[in-house]
Amino acid sequence: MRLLHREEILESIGSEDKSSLFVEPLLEPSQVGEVTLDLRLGYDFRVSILTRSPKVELAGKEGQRSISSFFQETRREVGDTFVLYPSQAVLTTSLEYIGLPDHVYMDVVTRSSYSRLGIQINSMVQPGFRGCVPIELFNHGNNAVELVVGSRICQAKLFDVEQSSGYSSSNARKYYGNVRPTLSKADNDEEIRILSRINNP
Amino acid sequence: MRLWGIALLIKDDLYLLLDETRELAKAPFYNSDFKKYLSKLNETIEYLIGHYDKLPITANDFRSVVNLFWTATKYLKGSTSNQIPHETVYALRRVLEEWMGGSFLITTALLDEPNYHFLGVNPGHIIKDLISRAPAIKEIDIEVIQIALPRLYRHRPLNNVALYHELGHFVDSYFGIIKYYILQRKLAGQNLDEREINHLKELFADLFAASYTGDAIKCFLLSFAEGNPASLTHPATSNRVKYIDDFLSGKNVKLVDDFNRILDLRKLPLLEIKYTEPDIEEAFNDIKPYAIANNKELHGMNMIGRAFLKKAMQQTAEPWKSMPENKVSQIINDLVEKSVRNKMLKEKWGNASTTS
Repeated sequence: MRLLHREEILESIGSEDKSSLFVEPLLEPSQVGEVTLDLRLGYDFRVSILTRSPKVELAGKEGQRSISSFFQETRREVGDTFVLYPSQAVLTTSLEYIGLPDHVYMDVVTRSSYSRLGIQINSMVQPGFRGCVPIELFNHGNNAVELVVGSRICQAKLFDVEQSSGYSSSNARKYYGNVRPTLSKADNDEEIRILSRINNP
Repeated sequence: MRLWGIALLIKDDLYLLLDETRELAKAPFYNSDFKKYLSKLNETIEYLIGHYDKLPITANDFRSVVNLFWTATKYLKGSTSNQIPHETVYALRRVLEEWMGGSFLITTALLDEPNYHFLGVNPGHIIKDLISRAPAIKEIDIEVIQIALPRLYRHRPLNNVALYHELGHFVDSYFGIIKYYILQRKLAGQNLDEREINHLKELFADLFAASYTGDAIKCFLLSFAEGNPASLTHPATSNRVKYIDDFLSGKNVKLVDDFNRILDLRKLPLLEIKYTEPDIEEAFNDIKPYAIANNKELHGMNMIGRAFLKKAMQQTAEPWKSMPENKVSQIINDLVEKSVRNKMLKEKWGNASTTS
């Protein structure tokens, strides 16, 4: 596995080859660093909210409350602010729509300017991915942080795994082609159904 | 002195509306033009409350003014909703700029019903007419356009092509296109009845929409009103479709010529093809958004996106073949939305980067 460097990233973005790296819009070429690609905070959010239910249930029981009821949808325009409160989890995406080649995978972490404020982002993107990068924001700090939509909040490292994966042609992909944050589909995992049958044959 | 009961209700409504607009002014999402508009609304309402017993207008006229403010605040509230489809509004704004220049504000509301609106609300015109002897009221000179669409379609831009038709009604109403047409026919000795006038309005709106969205508006008509016969308010759908088809195929259509003569006299844009057909196949089949180059391509996305969706829904080729049917529609609409949004982003970034 090999970490892609700046020239390779730029060459791939600039290539018209269908299987090259796709980043759109790349508002500033300076987003491409020596071994990283800065990504910007997107404009759609799903904010976790408190409800009357004490927990998010994943066990697949009858009458289980939908995961969507624990999140509130909201949008901003680029340049608007979004306040992330302490211990709040928010789903969002990158501003950029990414298309990864079948042999490139991506790790996404917080840029240090934001991790120093207590913001944590830790995501990975499969080879062949298409969509805005899903970002799970969490504020570990004691203070609310006012983020600006469109700011460079995370950075991605791209790795050539030197072997094409079948992710893009797999039927198993759940979060493919998304342009806004998608709620967890953990309760739809086939494994959950199998596990639930263990104690309830 | 106004009748006590009516006066109390109207004045109380004014107080309630004043509270509403003051709360709206505190919302963090408005731009400065909206704040100016809200400030003028507030001033006017305060003036009306303060001079209620002295103004020389009837209670009915006062009620009309109150209802107007009510309508104005209804859609302003909708615009604080954080779910507005900015991409759809952006495309319509480009059309409005072409017809009206830049002197308007757009507010958007999401409806819990399958309905679309496109209205102009400028309380200032009404106030000025009704209260001509009230020089203390500063005229509200901003045209506020209110758009409403179904909440269910907020992420389905291809379903919102009907807004172009509604925009056609707005343009007709604002510039008096059909009124002018009726006058011309009257001068020629031909009086039109209510049915004919209503039909003309619908045909103008259809042709207006078709000039921007091609046969996407025809597909929409056929989805919602296929086989509908003529009624008091609408021509038969088959008739509407024929006009659209003839217009788009470049045939000589007398009605289009008549409308264009009026538009030309009024120094307005003409009814003509204002879109191009972007080649989205390669991008969309690779599940990537398309880089929209200009406004003609922007409007053309309606037609091409819809045609692409129709083909993809047949699910005869990858990547659509192995997807659940509802996912096909979602992804293609999302790609259209993101294509438009990317154009907006690049434009805004470019403008902000060059502004010193």
